[in-house]
Amino acid sequence: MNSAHDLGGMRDFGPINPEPEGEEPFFHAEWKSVCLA
Amino acid sequence: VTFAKPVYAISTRGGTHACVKHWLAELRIHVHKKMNAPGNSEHHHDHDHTDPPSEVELRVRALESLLVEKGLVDPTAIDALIDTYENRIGPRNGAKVVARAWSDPTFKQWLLEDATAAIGSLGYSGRQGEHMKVVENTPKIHNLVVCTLCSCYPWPVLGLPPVWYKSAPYRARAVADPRGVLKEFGTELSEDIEIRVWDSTSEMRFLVLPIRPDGTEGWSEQELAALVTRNAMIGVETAKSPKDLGRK
Repeated sequence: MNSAHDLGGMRDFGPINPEPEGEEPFFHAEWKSVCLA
Repeated sequence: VTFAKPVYAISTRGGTHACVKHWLAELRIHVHKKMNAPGNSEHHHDHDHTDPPSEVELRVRALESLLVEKGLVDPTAIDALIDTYENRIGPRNGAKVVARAWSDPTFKQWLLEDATAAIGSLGYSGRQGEHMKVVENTPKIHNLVVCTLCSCYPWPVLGLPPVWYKSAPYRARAVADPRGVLKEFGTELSEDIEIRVWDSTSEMRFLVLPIRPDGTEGWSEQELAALVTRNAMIGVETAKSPKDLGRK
């Protein structure tokens, strides 16, 4: 795939800033859970 | 925000082929009015809500109500699916797989040779886990999993991917600068450890088998599983030590 999806190796997206495991809300908004289901 | 029935009703007014943008706009005005109505008893808020709900929230609500009204979706099925991913499928499944591999050399061998079958034998299989490969960390090799194209992830053993796994910076840099990525998770590996990065596909999903921590001889599988974090099974961290759990 050669498109906007292919982010491997691209630069300048800044830090990852991961939320610590165990402190993440399961869904960050209610609509996200409904969308998944 | 809790939406009352009149809000749902407006979404189908004029038939389902009505201009989506139009009814989204209409919904927003309706909701906005409702939220700001004086004496609205359904309205308990401690925040400033002069802003109406976001367009995506409205769109999801509208689509949900349409699907339900048309009988295409059973609302209890939506709840059941959410419950499944919130409470039943998650990284504790993967931790049990790892703990079994740490305890049982025969199982570990099977896991490394045919992960899909070995994991399936513990009852974890299905959607987004049809083709599994387990990659083993050793004192000389550390494995890291990414999906550079999107967010492919082994759901039956790890649940849904965390936000950072889906983020552009992780996907971009995991393959270009894995050591730098690991540092952002507080994981510093000695320079002589080779890092192997596995890029997931729509079919193949990876699970990292972390190194069993020292000082865990004689531990039961249940005790061992408590050392196995989700992040360790993605490869951005190592397994916890007994000390991390407050044990000697």
